[in-house]
Amino acid sequence: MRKAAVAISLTAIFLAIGLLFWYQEGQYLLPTPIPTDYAAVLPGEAISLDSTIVSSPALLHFFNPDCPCSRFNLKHFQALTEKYQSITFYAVVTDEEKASTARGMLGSGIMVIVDSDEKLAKKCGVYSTPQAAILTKDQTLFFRGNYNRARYCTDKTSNFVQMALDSLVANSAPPVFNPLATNSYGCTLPGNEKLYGTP
Amino acid sequence: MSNVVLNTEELRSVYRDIYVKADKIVSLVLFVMFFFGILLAFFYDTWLVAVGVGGLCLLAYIITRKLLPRDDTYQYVLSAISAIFAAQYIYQMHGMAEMHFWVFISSTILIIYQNWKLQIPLILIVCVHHATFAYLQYSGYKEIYFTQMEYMDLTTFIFHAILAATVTLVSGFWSYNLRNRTLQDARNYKVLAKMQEELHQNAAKLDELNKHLLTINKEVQEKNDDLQAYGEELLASEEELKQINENLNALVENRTQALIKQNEMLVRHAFINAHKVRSPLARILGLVNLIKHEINLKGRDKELIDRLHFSSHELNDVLKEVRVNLESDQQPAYRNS
Repeated sequence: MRKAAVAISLTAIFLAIGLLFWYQEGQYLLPTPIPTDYAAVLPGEAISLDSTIVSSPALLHFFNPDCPCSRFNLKHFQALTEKYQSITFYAVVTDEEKASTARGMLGSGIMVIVDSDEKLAKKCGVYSTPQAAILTKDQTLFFRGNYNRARYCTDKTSNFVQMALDSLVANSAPPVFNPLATNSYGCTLPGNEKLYGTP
Repeated sequence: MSNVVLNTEELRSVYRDIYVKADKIVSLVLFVMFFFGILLAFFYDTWLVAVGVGGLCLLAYIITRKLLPRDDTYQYVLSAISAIFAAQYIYQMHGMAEMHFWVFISSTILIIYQNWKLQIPLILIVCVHHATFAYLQYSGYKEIYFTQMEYMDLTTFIFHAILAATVTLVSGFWSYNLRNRTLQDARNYKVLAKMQEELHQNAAKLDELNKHLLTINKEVQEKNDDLQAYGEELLASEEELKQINENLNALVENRTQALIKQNEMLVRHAFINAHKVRSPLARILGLVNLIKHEINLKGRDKELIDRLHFSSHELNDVLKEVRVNLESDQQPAYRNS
């Protein structure tokens, strides 16, 4: 009887541990489900932005402080902000509370945009975090995609955002990446959580 | 001593102290491991995993230990959650390679229970974890599963696996070795205890025998005292006898002397009788012969002379016999006569 109770308890506990890891890590290994109303935005398309965005090359860092994936690449993002001084970096969050947290995590040098209705995200074709949208000074989309194929941005050969920024700074065309660069991974934006389509 | 066998209760008794001590240390280690996870949560805000996974691991250990206190299942659970804690730390620190050291730390901590099998859940979970990632990576999945390093190639992975397996093998070997040593000590202790018991029994027997010997000794002593007293009595009797004997000797000597004197006097009297009486007798014998030849007697006179002749010869024979006896110193002849 006691052995059965122990077996059931252990099974439940180890399942719970597995679920926790899945919830925190495993699910992000798969591409984020694509929203049903998703409209892809391709590089070169013009993006009409409001007045908060200055007219200079910019990187919009779609950020969610509650998303483990956003925390994974925090150091990489900060390294990029230091390396590319000619680029204006913005962190885009979905509400004021997250904005406050983001300021604390990213530092005061990064401007935070609250995209409460996720209009900006839709304009850029973004539905998950962390994602980067690089805009040219004439506000066309230069690159939209992932920072790295590795969760912790440790694979130097797949620093997609960094390579795109290098091309932008060099005034060359955006590099052509494989789908790992553009397929969205990470946490779904809150507005898209109930609109999953086929990945 | 090697043929001594320990029964289940004895084995349980041998390991009771070891497990009590090990459980105390392990409880402290688990407490430290849980709070290490909490500490790591500060780096990347991994609070949910730190509290959730860490708490569930502790819960698994506590439930097993409480429900099956006499069973060693909780030790296997400890081994499993050690691997999970290591995975948790690796996750919390975004794949920091140094967090793998926790597997090695846990492997060495498990030696305390002296059971090599405890290494199995630990290395099994590590293997399954790595093998899953390796399968995904090498089977064409594009995501990178082994983090921190740019890319874990097959050579690195093989070294990784061999070194991890070596640590657990060494820990397992030491556990096995320690267990054998503990069991050998227990067997030796059992033999010594048995020998001590036998010694106690022998000592008791010896004590009893000693008491018996003391009693016998006492009796012998008493008999010896009696004998000594008897000996002294005998000695006194012997002394007395000796005295009596000496007195008797003196008495015999006196009497012998008296007898010798008496005998000498008798001899002298006999000598006197034999020699001094012989002369008159010879003359009487001569006279009788002379009468018989010279005188023609008849009748009554002749008869008287014959009788006188006969008696004279008879006396002569007696004197001859006395003289012969005296000459041959035949004393009994005097006594008999």
